[in-house]
Amino acid sequence: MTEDTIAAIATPPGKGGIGIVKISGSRSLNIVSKIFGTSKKGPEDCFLLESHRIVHGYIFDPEKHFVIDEVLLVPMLAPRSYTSEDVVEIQAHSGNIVMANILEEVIKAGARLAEPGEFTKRAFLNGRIDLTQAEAVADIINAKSITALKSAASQNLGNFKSTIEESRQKLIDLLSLIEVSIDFPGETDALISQSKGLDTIKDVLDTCRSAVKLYEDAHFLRDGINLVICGAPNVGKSSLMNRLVEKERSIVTSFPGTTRDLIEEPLNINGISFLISDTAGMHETDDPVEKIGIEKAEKKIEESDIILFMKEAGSQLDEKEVEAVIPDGKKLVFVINKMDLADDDSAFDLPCKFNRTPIVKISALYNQGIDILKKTIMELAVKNFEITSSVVPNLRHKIALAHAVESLESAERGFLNRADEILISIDLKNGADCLGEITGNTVKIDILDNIFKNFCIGK
Amino acid sequence: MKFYTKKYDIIVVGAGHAGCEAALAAARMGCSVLLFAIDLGKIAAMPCSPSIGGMAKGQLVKEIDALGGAMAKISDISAIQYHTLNTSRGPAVRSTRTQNDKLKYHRAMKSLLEKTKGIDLKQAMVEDLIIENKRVKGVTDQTGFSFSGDTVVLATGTFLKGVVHIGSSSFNAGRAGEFASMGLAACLVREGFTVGRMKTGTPPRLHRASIDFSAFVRQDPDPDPNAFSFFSEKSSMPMMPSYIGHTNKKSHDLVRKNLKNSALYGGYITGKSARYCPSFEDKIVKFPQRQSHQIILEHEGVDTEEIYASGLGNSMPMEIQIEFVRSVEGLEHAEIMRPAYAIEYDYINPKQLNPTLETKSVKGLFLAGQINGTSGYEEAAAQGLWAGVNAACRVQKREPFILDRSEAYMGVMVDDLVTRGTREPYRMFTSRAEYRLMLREDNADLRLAEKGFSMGLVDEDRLKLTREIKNCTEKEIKRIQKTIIKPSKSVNAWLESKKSPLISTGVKLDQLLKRADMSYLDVEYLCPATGPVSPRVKRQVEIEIKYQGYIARQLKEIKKFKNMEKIKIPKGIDFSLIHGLSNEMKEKLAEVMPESLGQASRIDGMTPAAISVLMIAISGLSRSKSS
Repeated sequence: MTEDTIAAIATPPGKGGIGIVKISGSRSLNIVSKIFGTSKKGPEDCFLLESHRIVHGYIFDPEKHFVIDEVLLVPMLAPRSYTSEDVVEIQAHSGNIVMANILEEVIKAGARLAEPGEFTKRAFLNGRIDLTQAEAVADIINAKSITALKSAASQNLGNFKSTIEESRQKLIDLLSLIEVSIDFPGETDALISQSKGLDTIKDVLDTCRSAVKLYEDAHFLRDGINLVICGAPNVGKSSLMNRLVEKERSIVTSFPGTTRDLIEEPLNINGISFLISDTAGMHETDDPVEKIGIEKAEKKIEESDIILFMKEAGSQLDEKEVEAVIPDGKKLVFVINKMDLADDDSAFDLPCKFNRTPIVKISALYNQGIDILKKTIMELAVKNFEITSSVVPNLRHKIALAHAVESLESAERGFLNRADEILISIDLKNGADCLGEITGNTVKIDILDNIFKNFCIGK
Repeated sequence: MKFYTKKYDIIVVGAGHAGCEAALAAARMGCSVLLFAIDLGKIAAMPCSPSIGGMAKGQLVKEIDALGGAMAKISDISAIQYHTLNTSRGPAVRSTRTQNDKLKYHRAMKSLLEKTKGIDLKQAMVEDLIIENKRVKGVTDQTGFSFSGDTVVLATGTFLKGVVHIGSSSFNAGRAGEFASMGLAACLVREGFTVGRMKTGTPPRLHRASIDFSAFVRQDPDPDPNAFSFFSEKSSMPMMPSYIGHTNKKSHDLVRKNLKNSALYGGYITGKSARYCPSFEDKIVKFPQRQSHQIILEHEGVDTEEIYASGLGNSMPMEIQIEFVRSVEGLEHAEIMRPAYAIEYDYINPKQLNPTLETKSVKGLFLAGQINGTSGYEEAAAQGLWAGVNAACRVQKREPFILDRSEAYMGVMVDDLVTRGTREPYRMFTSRAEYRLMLREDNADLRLAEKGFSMGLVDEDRLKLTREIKNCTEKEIKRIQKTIIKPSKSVNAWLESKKSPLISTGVKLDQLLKRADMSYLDVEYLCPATGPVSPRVKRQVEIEIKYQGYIARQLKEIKKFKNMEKIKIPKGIDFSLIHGLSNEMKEKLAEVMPESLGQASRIDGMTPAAISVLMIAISGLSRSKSS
């Protein structure tokens, strides 16, 4: 009676040592076979794994083929599992992002996000839990759905939901137009034109796609932002790096060109992850080792999200000097180091091209201005998201949005190919239902109510 | 109490569209049936529109027909116009509509009933039900004479405490000019049924000679229609047109000025009216911006001058009605033969019924048609057939006959009624059917033949025929899917003539057929089947290939739906004892007494968590029983 394979993060959110993603259902092994492998080579067939034995391996993003996390996998095959179904647990390095990533891959591979209390419900329905516990199971389901409701309400989802609800209403209006023309042919002058249909769908698609993008952007934001320190040799890049990560990571000497290779270190500012890279100083050199380091630095700059461009106090900034190493459109902060050596009122003139670029004066050596620099970095990192909305959809929302996009794209094709309206109506209804999952409007859409309100029908 | 000596399996009260189909279906299943009409001259009367079918209703008629019912056949005998709706919108939402000679329709149905073995047709007004220990035993007529029956089907239409309104005047009537049924209404209240009040109405009938038809746009019947029924030939009656006109500012001003004089806005009516069938007063009030509304004039028959003025329905007093009708261009000199009127009547909230249409509280008592809060001849007929079959099943101690929402429009309607009830007259719409892509007119017989045969409603020849159609369709689909068309001059010339994109590599024939501009005829031209293919099969093949992807998706959804329907809720379960359900949910469940988890999930306001909890409880119950 339960055909779907379900999945959820089974450990409480927050920073524990280990997090667990739990999968239950007949397709569990099938699903992990798409994303789990015992070596870094990639996913492999998991049907041969022995039940109730821990396996070491990796979870992959099967599309991009990179490792998401190093994990322990525990298959517990039916009926010897909590739910009496095939269960697989993925134990990973906790942290909300990693866990969410793994769960997302599990869902992409064919699982459905579990409803509140669903594992326990399955355990009971499959006879795993004693009959006397039936009431407790009911309580768990009730409690969990109340918690889910409360957390949905407590999150500041108001704006996001009303945007989605607006889109849903647009779909319902469009659907009503189609329905009225089907169910009351010749009785109304309500006509649905191809262009109106396409306009509405495009409008809603834009909303859905940008919400998905918001999720993905925010996701990337949580995954880690690439922060690169660059500048001429011996401006104090390594010192800054050490200050930011609060340990002696880079070797600091007074000799230019000490840092020859790329040095990377994770950094957390106010809960947002960064990957900070200290690069080799940029200058013409014949040293083959340094040359490789500089090439690597260039590549790193190319991939970076935010660049800290360092100068010494008292030096002058040349427009060409920046353009030579930094591609257009990169987020940039000018960091003026060694302020301890400079006169108090020493002005630093920016070329007018960069007059909007933030500039922070520090002394890496004496730990001055580092907090201001961190604040500036944070502001740059979250800038994109403040513009659109402060609310980032969660995974459940994102899944619903992605399904809505799929249905609406099909409806769009339908309009373009002048498909039968009934087919378009199926896609539109699916789309509206998906959006309803986000707004909590899961009740059957009352198209008829909408029709009778807006159209004069009848003999 | 004086009893008629003969005892019946089934007594049907009311010989309208519901009662006739109920009697005929029960008789087909071998039951002895007594069918009552207050007036044998009014059997299968069409008190409102002179037409059968239309959107979604046409699908119902085809389903009735596929189960051996009479409506489509009688329509074919009496049709004076055929019209297929939505021809431009693809086969899934195409519906047949006929306009019928009302008198001919009545006579043909009466004749069929009279000739059907097992049916006794009698004129009497049933005033009371004989009920012992919550079980129906028979009925008593207004003279006090009683009849015994194992089961009773009430198909009383608008007759229960019917009141006709014209302006401020009102009188008791089941329809204008006919007695209302007062005793039976009281009897149902006495038995504890929750009774509500509904309102419907009918437009005026005008004399043909008084109309200036030149002011109307003539709408001709379809030139070469198919018969409505799968079994009969199309009508041999003369085909007649209808005429489209419009109301104007003068009409609207008049009605607006006189709203207070209407029964509807004068405060004389409490019954709930249907939003899709508004009285003209409603159109003026709810859509004040509209300058004009469409009206259609339709012939009521071949041998009558009466013209049905669709769109002019109202509840105004006579003097205003006359002025109102004459405000319309072309009707300046119209003579009203029958005034428009509104009618209020009692209905039984259908949540009090099982999915068999048997009442939950009185065993053997079935309700069908407008008494259940529906509207329309076709909705009534479908329920009549459903109730008749299930009454017969009860008598013959057979499993009930239930079609689910994925099998038939009938199933959608009955499920809606018994699960959600209705507050306004319930009419069928295609948008009520979530699987309407599958529930088409063209496949009604293919969908229902097996079940119909198992009930004794469809004969073996018919069953074999439908099986053959299905087999041939399947075979031909396979052939088309396998055939590859290679690009050639002649192929591309043909495609060009159809304004369809040319091909440069081999293309599967089904891919070509899926193109919007291609039909089976093109497939036939490009690569014909080896043997002959019947027109019926060609049509099925075309539909199934064109809709393939969407059909596959609906089949998947249907599978999910059926899984939920299969989880039965034990009869007699006490919902109030289920731990974890809110009181509100307990009340809703106790009111509807759903038979399956699927049905429970469709109750208004039911939450997924409540369904989960219910599932736990059911599973607990069945486990404790088995252990």
